Amino acid sequence: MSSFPPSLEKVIEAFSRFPGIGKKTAQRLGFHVLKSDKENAIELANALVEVKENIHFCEICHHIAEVSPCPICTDERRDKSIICVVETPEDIFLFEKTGFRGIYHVLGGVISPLDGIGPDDLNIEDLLNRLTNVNEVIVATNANIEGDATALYLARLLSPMNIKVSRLARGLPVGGHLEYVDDATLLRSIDERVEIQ
Amino acid sequence: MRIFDKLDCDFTKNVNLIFGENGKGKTTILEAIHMLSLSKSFRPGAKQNVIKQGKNSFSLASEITTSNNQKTKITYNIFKGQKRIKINDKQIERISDLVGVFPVVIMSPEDADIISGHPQARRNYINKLFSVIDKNYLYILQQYTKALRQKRETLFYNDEKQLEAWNHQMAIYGTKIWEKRNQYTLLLQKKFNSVWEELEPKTHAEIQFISSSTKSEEEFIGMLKKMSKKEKEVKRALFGPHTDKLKFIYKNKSLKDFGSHGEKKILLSALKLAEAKLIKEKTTITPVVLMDDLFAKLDKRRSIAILKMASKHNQVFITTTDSQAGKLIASESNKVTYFHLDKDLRCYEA
Repeated sequence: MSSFPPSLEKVIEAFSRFPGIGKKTAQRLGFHVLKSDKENAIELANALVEVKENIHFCEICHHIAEVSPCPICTDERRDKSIICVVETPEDIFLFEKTGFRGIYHVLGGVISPLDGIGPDDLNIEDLLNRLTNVNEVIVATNANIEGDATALYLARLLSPMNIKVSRLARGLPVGGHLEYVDDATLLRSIDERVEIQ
Repeated sequence: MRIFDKLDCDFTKNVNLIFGENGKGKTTILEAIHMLSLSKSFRPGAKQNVIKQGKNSFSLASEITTSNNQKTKITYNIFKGQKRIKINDKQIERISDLVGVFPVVIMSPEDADIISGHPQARRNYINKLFSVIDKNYLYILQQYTKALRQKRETLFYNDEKQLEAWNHQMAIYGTKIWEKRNQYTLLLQKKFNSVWEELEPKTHAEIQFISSSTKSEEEFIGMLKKMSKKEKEVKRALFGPHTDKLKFIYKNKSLKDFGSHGEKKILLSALKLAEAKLIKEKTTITPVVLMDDLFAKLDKRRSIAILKMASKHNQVFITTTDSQAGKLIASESNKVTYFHLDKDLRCYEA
């Protein structure tokens, strides 16, 4: 089998490092770049460089932004007394769509000793340093064992500070049909059922 | 699959006796049925060993009439390590969708571990069984196991708060496991006692379930707090469902330590018949009973008694190398089909 010319090989190799991209897809992308206009390629290359040069982590909440502190942290109209703690910056974009008007804090992951991640590897220290005038911390980690354990860890950590700590509710998807809900979710929604007022 | 290129069989009768010499693929037929039920083989060894050497795929296709008179088509396919299972031509998303559709109970020489192996082998046995009769059991067990592994790792750091977080997760799922284990082991014990009473009324045998189970999450956490110092000392998780024990008592002695091979097999067979009854009660479907090498280590009288009991309610598959024993069974009942696997790996009714 003859191999690709070195410069093409380099592009394919770079594409294959992206998540969810296998060898074949990387090849297709590589050939696509070859076939497309030079301007497109330059645009892509510049965009990649720009994103790395311009996007930084916010020094307060660790969200991604072109300025630090980020626009969310400096937005005067937001309710600074309520912090939503998330695992990754991507999660913030999801909550922003809901119209949530509080502020955020990105942990950068969850506690998982099996993966070598302890509390010191997360942005917990920074969270503790910004809790003056905060009334409530919503822990919005994922609904799995590690997410739950991290939530509980934070709750215990914050308990002496007299701040309300809450956890996202788990259960049925809105508009969902019971028939299509998996057993684990159904089990959870029975455990966390809510009394009708 | 294994030694076969292709094999077609109809098993319409209640008792299916598969006779053949060593290495002719008797157990492979049982294995195929087992895989259609639980997606896994019951034989030890690497997963890919099931595939015939030199090939990269194999497939099983079946049409099953379950005891509630439903016709179900299950197909199983492995191609280049990718597993695909379809029920009635629809591909399933999770293995748990398959479990319980077509339940089987397997009696095989590999079961010896349930009695003679480590305590973990016995826990694995009940975990597998309870996952068949309760769809939530496996999920809860997986969550618990994850929390347990994280906790074990945390024991190597000096982090009280983190330990508390993992203990809490263990308590949530551990309490649920215990609730189910207590309930189902009690049922299994009851079924076992009634099977044993019929099979061996003159001797005493029982299954003991030894567990430090707690009733609530708070109680669980309280126990973990008490154990905390010791746990940190020895760096092991000392409390929880993962320390439960199952013990088999035969003639007032521990079967594991004092039983002969034959005695162990009698008790194992009774356990499996109890398992079949439990599955029937909880899933409403009568499981198929697979008896790999039934006559090994057992006298003929007992073998036949066990077979008769199993075939009263369940469809039964038996493998044997003993043609005499086979003929004996065939003469006992007219509901027997006698299959012969010959040297060309063909399977025909004899």
